[in-house]
Amino acid sequence: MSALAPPALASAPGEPASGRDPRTALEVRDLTVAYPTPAGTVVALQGASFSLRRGETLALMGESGCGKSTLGRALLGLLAPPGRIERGTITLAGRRVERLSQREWQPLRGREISMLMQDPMLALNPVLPIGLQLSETVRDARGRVPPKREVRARGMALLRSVGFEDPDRVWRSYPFQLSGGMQQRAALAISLVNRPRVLVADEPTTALDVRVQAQVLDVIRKLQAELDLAVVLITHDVGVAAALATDVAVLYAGRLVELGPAQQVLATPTHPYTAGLLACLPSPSGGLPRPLGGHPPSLIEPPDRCPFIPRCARADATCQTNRFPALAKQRPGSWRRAITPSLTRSRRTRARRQRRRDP
Amino acid sequence: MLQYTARRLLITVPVLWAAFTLSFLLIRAAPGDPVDIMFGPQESGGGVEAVTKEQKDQRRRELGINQPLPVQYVAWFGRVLHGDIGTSFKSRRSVFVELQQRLPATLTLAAASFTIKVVVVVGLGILAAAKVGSIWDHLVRLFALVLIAMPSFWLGLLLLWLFAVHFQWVTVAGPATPQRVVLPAVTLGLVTAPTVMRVLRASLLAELGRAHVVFSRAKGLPEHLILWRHTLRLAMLPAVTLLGISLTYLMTGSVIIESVFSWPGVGKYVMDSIQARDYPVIQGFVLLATAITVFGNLLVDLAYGLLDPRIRLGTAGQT
Repeated sequence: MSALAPPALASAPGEPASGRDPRTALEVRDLTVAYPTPAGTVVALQGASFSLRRGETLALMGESGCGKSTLGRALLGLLAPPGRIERGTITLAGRRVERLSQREWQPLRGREISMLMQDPMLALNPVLPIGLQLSETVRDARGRVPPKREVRARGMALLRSVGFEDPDRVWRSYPFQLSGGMQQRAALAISLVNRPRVLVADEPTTALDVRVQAQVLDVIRKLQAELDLAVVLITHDVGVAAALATDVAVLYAGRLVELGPAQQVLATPTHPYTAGLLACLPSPSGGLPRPLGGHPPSLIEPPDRCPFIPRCARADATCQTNRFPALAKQRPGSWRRAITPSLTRSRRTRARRQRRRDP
Repeated sequence: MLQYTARRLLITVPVLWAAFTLSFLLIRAAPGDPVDIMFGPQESGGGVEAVTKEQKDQRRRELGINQPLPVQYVAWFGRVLHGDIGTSFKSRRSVFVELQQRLPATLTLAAASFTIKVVVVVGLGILAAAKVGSIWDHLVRLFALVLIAMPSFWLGLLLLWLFAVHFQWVTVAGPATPQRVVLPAVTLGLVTAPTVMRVLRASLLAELGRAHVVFSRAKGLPEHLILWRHTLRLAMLPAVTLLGISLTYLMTGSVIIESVFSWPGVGKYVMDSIQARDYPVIQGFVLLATAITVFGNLLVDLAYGLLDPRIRLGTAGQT
């Protein structure tokens, strides 16, 4: 832990200085995650940068396999083996965390950053009652287990605030005795019981009945306001993103292809992939959904070019020859969206890529 | 749960009947006649007083094995129903008493070896799974491989040579004292542990790969709680099944070990009785072994309910 004290906290030269904002909960710079496999190194996430302040919600959108969940897991230091962070930084509440060991991560999880998973039936332990899974999580500010009475009081209070009218019964229940929506709300209570700053919600409504999706989203929104949470919402559902997100990031083949305020991205997408993704939805005006043709490319040794070129109707010679730009947030709250490479190709990015090519 | 237990106990009855019938038929299908074996073959009566055919027939009548099979079967079955499992041909003592005398020694050995086995299985299985891929994992797997490859009697003889002959820490022969049970128990525990240990390691690894383990880590739960509280319970299920089955084996299959260590238990007695075609003893033993097996399996099923609330509450598969 001490290895990451002050010197490492200072921003690298040329980094955007958004880390100074005290409301910033999470800052990710040039994050690159790779999975070495016998067939080659799969670069699941390449050079992602964004930052998130308390109270904000960033929706990470994209098709399956585009790197959304990899990004989400990387934020908690929970990459599935053999995944590892190749490059870049993650700053969580002012602290650099991308190189922490599992032992160093453990006290931060649940208290600084927490996660809500896709299928609550799988995320909750099937053989332990909800009350135990909730109470075993509770820690005080110094990471110690508080007295039993306090643990129970805090647990019950949270069960109530996720909308349970009979928290006593839920406390005693096993997961299989609850419905999917109830399970997800119980999981939410568990992940928020230590009041973290950041919640990574990985497809929190995808496994649920349509009727209860809105209910779960409502509870997330309510607790976000109560706890002043920064939420990273991983979803492929444009409706969910529109309902909750303040910002939207679109991932394609491991790259952020678009990043900006939610209304702006969803109403006037600039990257053709975002446009294509939105066109897959049926529109209220009666337009039929238009599916995106083709498949995402292989992530083994990805090229420096825009990964969407093979499926893109608007690709031209510039796209073919230019490196894909890194997106950057200049000031909090205002994203610079750029798909034209010349606008954002920074010297730093170029230098890094150069280094990577000739080690 | 109570109803379930009662139902399981009821099933025991047909199982015992089937075991009784099968053993009755099988032992009679085996070549060799109890009386011939008892007195030696007819022709070789040269030296000492030869036993005449009449005397042998007389003996067969006494034992009731001259009658047709169905008659014998009904007679035996009737006696068993009255709680009499028969009288040994050889010693002319009640089979029940004979087994009862030797059972404590076998039970002591079974309990001791089972304890050693569980300690080895749980200790090394958890060590290997929790530190998967590490040097510890490899050492444990190597240890298991060596033990699986080693015949139990050979390991027994090695231990005997080392501790009884070389160091002279234990005595080789004599009554079933607690000190003498150590070597056979270690042998039996060690040779039967590796398979169960590998199963526990594999199932623990499978449990550790589940989504709820990721969620537990994400909520900041320390690893020792994830291991002991969250994964070990379900990971124990397959291991418990094997342990339950092996409980029977430890009670009844320790024949070789009892011979190597001259341990005065049931296994050795039954081995001798099989050679003497002592029908009542063999049948009595089969009944006992069946009862133990059924009981062991019942214990396993009850342990399942204890470990997994979905089984206990009878709502598995519900959402």
